Amino acid sequence: MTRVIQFDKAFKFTVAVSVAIILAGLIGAGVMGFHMGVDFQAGLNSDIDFVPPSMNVSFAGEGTMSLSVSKADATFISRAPSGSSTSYTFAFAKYPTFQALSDAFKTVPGVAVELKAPGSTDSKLLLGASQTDAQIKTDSATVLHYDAVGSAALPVTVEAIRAAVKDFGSVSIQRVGDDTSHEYMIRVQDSGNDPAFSKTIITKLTSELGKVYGADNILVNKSDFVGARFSENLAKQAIWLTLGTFLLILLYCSFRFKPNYAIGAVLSVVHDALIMVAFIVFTRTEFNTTIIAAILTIVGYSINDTIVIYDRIREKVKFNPGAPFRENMNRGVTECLARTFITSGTVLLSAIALFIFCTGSMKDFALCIIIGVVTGTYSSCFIASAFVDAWEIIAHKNKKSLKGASPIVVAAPKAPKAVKD
Amino acid sequence: MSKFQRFLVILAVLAVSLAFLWPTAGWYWFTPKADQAIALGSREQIREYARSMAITDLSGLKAKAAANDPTRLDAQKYATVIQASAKAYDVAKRDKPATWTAKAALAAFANEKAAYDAVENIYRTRVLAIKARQKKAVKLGLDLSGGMSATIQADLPALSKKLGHNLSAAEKTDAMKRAIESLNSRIDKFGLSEPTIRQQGDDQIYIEMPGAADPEKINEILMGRGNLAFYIVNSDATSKLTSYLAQNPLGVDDKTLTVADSTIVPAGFVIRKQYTKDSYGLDEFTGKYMVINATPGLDGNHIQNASTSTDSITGQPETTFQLDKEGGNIFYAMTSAHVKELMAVVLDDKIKAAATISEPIRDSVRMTGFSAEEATNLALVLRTAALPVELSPVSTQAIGSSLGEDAVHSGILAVTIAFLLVIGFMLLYYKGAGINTAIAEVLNLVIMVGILSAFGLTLSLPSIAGFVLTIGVSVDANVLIFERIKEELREGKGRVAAIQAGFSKAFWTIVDSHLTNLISALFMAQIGSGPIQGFAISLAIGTICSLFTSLFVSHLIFDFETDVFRMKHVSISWRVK
Repeated sequence: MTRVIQFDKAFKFTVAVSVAIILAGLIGAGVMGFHMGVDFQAGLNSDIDFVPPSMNVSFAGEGTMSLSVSKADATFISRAPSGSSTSYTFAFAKYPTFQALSDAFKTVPGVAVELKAPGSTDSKLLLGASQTDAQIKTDSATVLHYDAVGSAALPVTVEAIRAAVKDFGSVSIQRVGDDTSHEYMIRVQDSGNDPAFSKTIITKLTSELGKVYGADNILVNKSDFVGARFSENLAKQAIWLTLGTFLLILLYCSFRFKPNYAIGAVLSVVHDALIMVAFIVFTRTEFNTTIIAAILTIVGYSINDTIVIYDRIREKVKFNPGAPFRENMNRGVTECLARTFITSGTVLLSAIALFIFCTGSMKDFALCIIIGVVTGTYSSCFIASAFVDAWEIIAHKNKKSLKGASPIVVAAPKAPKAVKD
Repeated sequence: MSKFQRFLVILAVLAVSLAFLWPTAGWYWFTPKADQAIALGSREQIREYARSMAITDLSGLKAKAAANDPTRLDAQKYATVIQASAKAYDVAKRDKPATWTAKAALAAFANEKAAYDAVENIYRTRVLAIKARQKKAVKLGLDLSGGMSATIQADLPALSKKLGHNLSAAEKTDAMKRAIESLNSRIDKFGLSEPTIRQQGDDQIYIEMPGAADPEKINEILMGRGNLAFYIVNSDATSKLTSYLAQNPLGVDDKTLTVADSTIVPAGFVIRKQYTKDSYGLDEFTGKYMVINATPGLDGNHIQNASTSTDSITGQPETTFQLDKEGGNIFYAMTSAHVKELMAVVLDDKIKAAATISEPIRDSVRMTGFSAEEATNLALVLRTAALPVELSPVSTQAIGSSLGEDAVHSGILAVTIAFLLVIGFMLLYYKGAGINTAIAEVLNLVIMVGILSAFGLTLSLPSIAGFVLTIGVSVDANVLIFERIKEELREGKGRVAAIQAGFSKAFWTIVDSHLTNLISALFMAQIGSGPIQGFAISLAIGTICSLFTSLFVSHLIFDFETDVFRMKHVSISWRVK
């Protein structure tokens, strides 16, 4: 039999550490507040790439022509007014430079191309059209951008963007990706003073930036507008649903286990959620719907972990009812330890894969999951069991004092002893 | 259940999942881009496509036949014609020609119309089949496909203020219907493919347009005002146009709505298309054109109210509407001058209905001759002008498709890496039993995506994240079982007993932990319509799949190894033999 680890010895310490972190988080939240994401704050969130134009493509034929650019090729799809459709695909492997590519594009009926970048540029750097309305305009040229590197890249800095949009009120600017990236997340808060904000802001933003960097150098990857009403509803919903989840878990655990186990489980889950809040507050992670999803995922994961351990403790108690609860608990948690480590390990592996390969909000999400898996595992070993342990001790004490009041019960086992004497 | 029965259950589940996955694979990997573009068009565009292809093919064929061209037809170019012709030969029980010359192909058909119908039918059926496939395939969310969405608020308090009383539930419903109707008529003016438009909550409307991502367009849709008016129809020119189109099916230019033959439409008149509602409530072109007066006879803002009722004598459904005093006078003058002529109700350049004027009418108008549904729709259209609902965006989102493509790439990469890491770890740690996990996990993924397709759910970035995490979490059930089996082996039990005990001891733990996970996932799915929902749904699906694969599939694999490979030991750990 493997050695039983005395988990209860650490309880005082772990509870103290947890309480300290949670308190620090709550105080931090009170003092610094949350870095509220666009979901919770009325305003515009845009993802803008500062990239120079590679070529201007225009279309003068019958019907419509659309263009989609992927990592490996560019495809034109023409639709005649009658509805018939033809596609022309140009693989970058076959047309390795912009010069070759633009010459190839010109073979598509009705398409005219004006090369804007050095002809020797690698075709793989080609990006789609601004806002990628795949349809090529007939009245003016559609600008295709490219991911310029080295000297061709635009000298953009957060400070310069801030200067360009200084009249917009509260604006936050963040570079997306590493130092070589020229993609920026620009957020403009809606102060509520301009009723046409939602309709005009993106045009205003691109035109102001265009004045500084040239209209052709701006590619809007993404723009989200969220109104005040939307964010209010979301916040309300999120709070109610989190509370609802806690309540249901409480009911389910009371039904499957005992109420004290249920309270311990919910307590450990609330503990995880609050530690996550502390993490979000101190790292200034943007608080948005994705983060709520992360918290709720951790709630689910942690409760899962806790229940597995409870199951084991209950089993130990059943097989060994005479032993003190504490001993059964330590044995149960110890026996689960291998499983606890392996499971949290596999979840961590998945979360790390997400963290490495995704960008933006998904990266934050993965980071929260990583933190949450660690705290979830910790809380089910130390917090959830500590609560049940404390409860059992108190309940036991009460029982003891109850037993003391009834001498007959105490006297009974003593009787044979007296005979032996 | 015997092993064989259990195996059949798994095969059945797998087969059903693959059947649901089939359209997705077919659409995303085996459908050429050009075909995708056609199939994404409206039914109207598909009809036009089939028509033009049939005409092109047949005119080529006729030219060859007239020139007595003896050469064999190009098998690829004329594949459809040859197919149609072969079928016609079969139906007529005649021998097919040895060589498919133009003449031989045409000889199969009784007349030109039959040839046209047969060829057009094949083209149309083919595209509609692709469209059906697309409808069944897993849809990509906006974050993966690029596109835009908007949540729009209808200003009901303003309407209530205008009417001077609180809105009843029925009035609110009607106001929302009007708002959707007016958005509806503007939305497809931009030729967007497959837009979604639906009411959300009590007073909001959600629009989603995949592909194009121009926030300006959302504004155009929102700011455009439904322009309703009554026009007098020029019946002579309309019938002339109809007979001209019978000869030249593609005679009307779709963009400018003009015909090449200038004698058909006299000056001061224009061509407009007639629309009806399709089964989704979206506008659908009927295929009919009308020639109407270029200037409206009466503007829609004179309408004060509109409703439907049933004629007390004939029982026919009818639409009635009231005009203000000025409108009544104009309408009286118009109807007096055009008795027995056709009047069209036009909303944003689309003819929504047409009716014959029976007598001069003043301010209270009654229109009959429709089905009950048409009458209701017409009343709704008329009310959009009488009681416009102010709309403002609550949230809008526009995502460039290149961003979406990057997201798809990184998502697939994350899923693959997570999958390989987890499986690799399980094989290393649990040796032979790791194979169970690998098989169970592959099955898990297939079933998850199968369920996603079966319910027509949308695959978004958060739902990919949900899948990645499910991979990690669903391994948990396997770990619980394996650890239990290991314990039983340590106590000296044999293979069969250890496996049996391992599964039965882990059973309730697994059910408990999965159920609580499901509870939190289902709760999450209630938050809005945004990213969390996608994540929660995939987490919930993953939880259910994991329950099945860990308890059912993995157990069968163990039993199979015991009975078929006559295994005596469990390869589950480096230490426990």
